[in-house]
Amino acid sequence: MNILTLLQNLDRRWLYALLLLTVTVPFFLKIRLPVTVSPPTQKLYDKIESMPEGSFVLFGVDWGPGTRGENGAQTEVMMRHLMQRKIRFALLAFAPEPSVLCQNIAVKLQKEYNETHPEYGVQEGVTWVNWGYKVDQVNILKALVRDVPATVSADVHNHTIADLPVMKGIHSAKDISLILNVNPTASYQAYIQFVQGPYKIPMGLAPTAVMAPETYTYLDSGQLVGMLNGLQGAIEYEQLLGVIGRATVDSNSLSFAHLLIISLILLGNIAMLLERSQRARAGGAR
Amino acid sequence: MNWISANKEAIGLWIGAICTLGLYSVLYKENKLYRLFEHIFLGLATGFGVAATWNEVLKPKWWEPIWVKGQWWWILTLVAGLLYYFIYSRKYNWLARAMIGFFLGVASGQSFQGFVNDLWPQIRTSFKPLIPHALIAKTADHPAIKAVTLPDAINNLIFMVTLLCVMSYFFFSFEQKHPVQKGMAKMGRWLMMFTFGAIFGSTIMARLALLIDRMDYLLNDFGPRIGGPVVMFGLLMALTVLLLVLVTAQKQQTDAETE
Amino acid sequence: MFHEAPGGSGAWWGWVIGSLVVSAVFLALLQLIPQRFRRYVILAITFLGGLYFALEFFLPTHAMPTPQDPKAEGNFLTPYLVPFGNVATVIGAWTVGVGVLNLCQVHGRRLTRGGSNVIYSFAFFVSMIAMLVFGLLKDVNKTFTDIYDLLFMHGLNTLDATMFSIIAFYIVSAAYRAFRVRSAEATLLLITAVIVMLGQVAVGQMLTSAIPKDSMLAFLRIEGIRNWVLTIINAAATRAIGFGLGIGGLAVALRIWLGLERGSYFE
Repeated sequence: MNILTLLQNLDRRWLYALLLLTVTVPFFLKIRLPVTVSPPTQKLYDKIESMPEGSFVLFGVDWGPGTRGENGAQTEVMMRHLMQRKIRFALLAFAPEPSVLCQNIAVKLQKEYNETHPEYGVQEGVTWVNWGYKVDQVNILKALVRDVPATVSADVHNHTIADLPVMKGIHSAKDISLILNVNPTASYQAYIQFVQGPYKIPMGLAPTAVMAPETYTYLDSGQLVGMLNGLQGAIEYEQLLGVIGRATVDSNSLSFAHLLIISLILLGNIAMLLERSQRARAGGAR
Repeated sequence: MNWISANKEAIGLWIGAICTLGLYSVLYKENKLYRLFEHIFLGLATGFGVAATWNEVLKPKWWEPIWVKGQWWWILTLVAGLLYYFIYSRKYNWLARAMIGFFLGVASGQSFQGFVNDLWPQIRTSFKPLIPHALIAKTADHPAIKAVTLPDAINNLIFMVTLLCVMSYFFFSFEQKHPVQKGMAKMGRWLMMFTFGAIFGSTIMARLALLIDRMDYLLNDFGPRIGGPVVMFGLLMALTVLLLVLVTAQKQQTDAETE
Repeated sequence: MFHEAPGGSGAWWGWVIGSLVVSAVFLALLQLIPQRFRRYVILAITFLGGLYFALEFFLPTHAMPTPQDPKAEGNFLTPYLVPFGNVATVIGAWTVGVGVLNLCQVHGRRLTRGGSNVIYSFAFFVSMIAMLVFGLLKDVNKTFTDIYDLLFMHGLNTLDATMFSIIAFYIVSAAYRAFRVRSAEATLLLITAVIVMLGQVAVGQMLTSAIPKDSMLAFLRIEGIRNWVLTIINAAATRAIGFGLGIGGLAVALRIWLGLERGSYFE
């Protein structure tokens, strides 16, 4: 059996093994390759950097465990930035899982910053709050923009949000300085249609890489002020913040896995072309 | 503190690792272990959906108003919601369709605002400046207009040409006979290949990120439980080698049978 | 009539049971509507459902200051947005049982019939009931909270994440075996994909890192080419596709709202 036939008939499980090796070995490499920060990530970072302390951010989180690899890293890095800048934020989820997952991330970061940077003053109920899971995204957003306390009423711990220090002065959409949405689906459009559009509130988006290409049109039109493009966006953001978080730890694996896939595509096509020319020569010889 | 609370983290990590490896067994081939974990996943997701809906929506927005605040009229929302369940009845399922129709109507009514706020800014910003110029200062009649350099103007031209060509590709209202129309549609098809290539490249990153997250969990979160990430890596490689040996043996057997 | 009554009191029970009886009578009366007129009832309900939001958006607005927002604008329908939203949310929440019921039917049938797949349906029911029970009772005591955390964080989350991550392996297999450049368009697609992939990772960016960022040739840096493809050509093409989808979606929404759409839901 010649090499070309072997390549063409390679069992898929050898490819799986190769991918597994490519993804796991880089975890043991301690080198961190710098990345060039893309303009959408830089714009989002600059926007949050320019916001005064005490501003209020509506942090929509609509991802589940299935996309935690990207959205979890994006959520964590943006939360870090908001906490470092002492910007208040409220988590809002339209699915059950992100409410819990993001609560855990926020609590973890709160614990970390209270140990390492107590000057940030991170405290649930004071600098951040979790509004929890709400059903019916469009109706909630349409109601929220007019009257936040009446729509949300209580946080995940059942505390009346109007009583929480973090919600002081937040009554309607006009008190929101920025919308952030971490979303693996197209439901970010509801934020654009019912909150960002009518009230001209700046909005940043953190989609998964699958959704990112279609969101560049919103960046061009100014409906989004910035964007994190998948895991790479999170890696770039961590570089801007100067932290080594989950995304940076994963960046080596991401790089080498990309090289593997490009190599396999090229190898597959080269094998196909060589086999074609072999067949053509064999046919011509006859 | 009972045993579960005392060992919660360890139990959790073992559950996670077993679930992960159980599902990954499908990469060898479809098997009973994978199907078992698949059904466990389905059950957990179903149970969670119901519990979360009660805890986060129905209890604070329905039960508390109706029982604690005495707002008895909320019972009517239960009647309306239960109409959906007539979908299982052949005789009465038109009532379920009435409810579905109501929400379809609500979504349709909302779509007007959605269309305006989503697309009108994009239509407005699609008209881009094509002539380079310096910054035009703000006057009483208009705000400041930012400068347009030559590269910007070229990019804007490419943008608008791409937009028009791709739009003309999807124009099916009448037959495109004119050579200009046909050319634009053909050009649009080619330009869309850039988008599809970008989507493909981005999708690769998205899927790889999910796998890397799992490997991170196995090596760095669960690994320390069994001696460290290197031990977990060794275990994963040993499992992989074992499976490849089985695959090779199976293939040799199949080849021998064929001969 | 719409006055609160203390929960559990006689008046409360009276109002609740009365409402249920009135609703049942109303539904029974609805059943008297002849089959051929039921479509019009559904169409009317569909129209009324959309009428509120359509009118609220299209009717002219005027200054309508509220305690929360002194500069608020709206029309006479605007104050009802919040209550309407809450009602729609609660009604929508009750539908969670539709899918659950279906699953229970399918797996229940499998359990009762027996066979080799019984163990899977049994596992489904055990995990569903466990998650439901501990999900509802998680605040009872610490043990229940911990069991719920185990089931949710380490069971459900792990399985969900792993299920999606399996796709990565299939992508590798597909990329190697199926991605063949048999046409010029496929070649262009592949070249763009390779540029985007290389430009988005550190190792790829290293290929052109020797070109200084502020030089005349900086546009040849791979991440710059990637950014250009995404922000110019890709953005324009997806916007064009978005326009088509948006107009098509609006047309369908209008057809549904006005009852012009045909289909089993409206027959």
